[in-house]
Amino acid sequence: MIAAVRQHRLMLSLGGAIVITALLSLTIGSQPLPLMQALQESFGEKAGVYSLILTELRIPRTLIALLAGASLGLCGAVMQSLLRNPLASPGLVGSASGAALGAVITLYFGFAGLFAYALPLGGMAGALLATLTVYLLAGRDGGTLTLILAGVAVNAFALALVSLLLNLAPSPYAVQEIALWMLGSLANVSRNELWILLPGTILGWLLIWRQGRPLDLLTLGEETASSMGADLPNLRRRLFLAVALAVGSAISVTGAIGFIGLVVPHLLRPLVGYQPSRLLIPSAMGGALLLMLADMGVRLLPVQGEIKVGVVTSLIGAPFFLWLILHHRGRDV
Amino acid sequence: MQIKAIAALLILLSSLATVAEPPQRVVSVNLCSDQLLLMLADPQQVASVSYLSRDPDSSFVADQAAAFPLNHARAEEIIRLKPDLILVTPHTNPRLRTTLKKLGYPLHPLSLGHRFDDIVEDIRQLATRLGQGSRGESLIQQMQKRLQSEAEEPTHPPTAIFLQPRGYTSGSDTLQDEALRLAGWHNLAAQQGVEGYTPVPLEQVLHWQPGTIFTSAYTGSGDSLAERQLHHPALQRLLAKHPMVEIPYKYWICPGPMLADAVALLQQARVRERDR
Repeated sequence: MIAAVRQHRLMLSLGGAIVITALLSLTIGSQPLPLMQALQESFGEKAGVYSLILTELRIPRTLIALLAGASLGLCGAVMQSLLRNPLASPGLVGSASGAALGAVITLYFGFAGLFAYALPLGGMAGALLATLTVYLLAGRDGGTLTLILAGVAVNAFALALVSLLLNLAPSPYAVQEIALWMLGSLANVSRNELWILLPGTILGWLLIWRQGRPLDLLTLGEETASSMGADLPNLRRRLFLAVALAVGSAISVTGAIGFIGLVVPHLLRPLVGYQPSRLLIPSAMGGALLLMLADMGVRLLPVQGEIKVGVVTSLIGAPFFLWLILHHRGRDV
Repeated sequence: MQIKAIAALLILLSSLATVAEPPQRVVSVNLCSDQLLLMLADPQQVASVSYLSRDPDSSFVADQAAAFPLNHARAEEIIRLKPDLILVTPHTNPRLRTTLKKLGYPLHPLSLGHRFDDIVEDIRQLATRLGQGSRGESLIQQMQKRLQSEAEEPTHPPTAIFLQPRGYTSGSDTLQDEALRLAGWHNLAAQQGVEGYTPVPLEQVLHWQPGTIFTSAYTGSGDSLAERQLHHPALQRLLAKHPMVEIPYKYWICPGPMLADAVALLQQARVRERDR
């Protein structure tokens, strides 16, 4: 009972923080935006600059940060529970770099022009392929070390291919976009990107829906979980597909944003009593919150041009990752 | 005393004569110097031009360049060409420059400044060095005539900016800024304090509300996020009444006589805008 109350409180405070951050995110940019005036313009007869900036730039950007962050946080929690491995996350098991590779192939070699959803489909295929490769390399019962090594290899390979392909791409602008795909950026996204992101994200989330209980059972070990009625092969297929759909869609729009999927579930796990089913939704909320905050940070930093949002998430994430390694040393790692 | 003076004079004269001897094996390692060289020199004076000079999308002398050996700005290639003058620009790799200098090759630097006067000065100095002073002066006169024939200063210059893929705009001290000014446009980006060739957020562009947006996106190239940015819905709505005007990219790669042609294009756009 107490756990349920705590869970509610956690979700309420995360929800409140998300609403406040989202509203703040609408007002922050290269120019201050008088929100009330922008809203009046948006609902009024004559659309002005403020409503244009609000509806075509800031709302899509904020929503994309929210959805992509939520997908990364959620998928991090799912991966960690499914692989029963504290270091699993879309960034480390190859999903993110695989998605970036898939998106780069479709965008720069003319496939994305064929139909609107070619781009996220490419991202999803890349994410699925890279994740499965890592999974097969590390084996079902592979230890943390094997998983990380396989992840490092596949990540390096995928990012090398991203770099190579962008150098070979016919567009003269492609080479300069290497950093964007490796670090991720939300600059100048539009509602077109929002529509590209949305279907895969929702489908992915729906596939994860109600999979908390089998994930809880899995904490007891695979055999026990099976004996208690969990259909593990089906669960694995379903969740791998879900992660590919959600992460693939997000990364094809934002580029590979690191560390959110790793850090957020870890931060929240102690608050939900180490129970996977209780971790999923708060992780999604935490991911959304973290990415929105990081993106606001990027906009506030006084540099010419814009630094990539992945720089900020990695600046937060990498030290945390080191702490995690130190914390686990002498235990299972 | 007198003999000494005469001897000194003779030495001075002979050294002047060697300087005045026009170079016969000139090598250019950069598209910008390629173009000026081929416009000013006699064909037999040119030993080699850079590989970019043959690209018709970037070069104004692509046809002429076909007659000459190409180089890729590598020291080994250049030395093998036995040059008696090498044209260098501020873009020339400093290591290459130092190496060539150490080996004793004469270098002729071009300033490649963005002002019209800088262009005139570069043409004049190179023409003199090549022993083609009169050809240089006539090229300068052509440019000036071209600019004057187009002139007709508007009392209230209309506003405009350049916007390229990835949101790059041209602020003060750029070729585009100089061309806009000469063509009777008011460059909003420069007025707003943008310096050089700099990316600006799309929000900023919407705030400026430029009357006309010029772009020089490479055409016919593949897809990229940079180019997609020019199709952002917010920008499309700003452009609904005043469509974007394309000025080919090759005008902006190098400061040179082509600036006068770019100014003419910008002026035609201004007249069209006024008559709407």
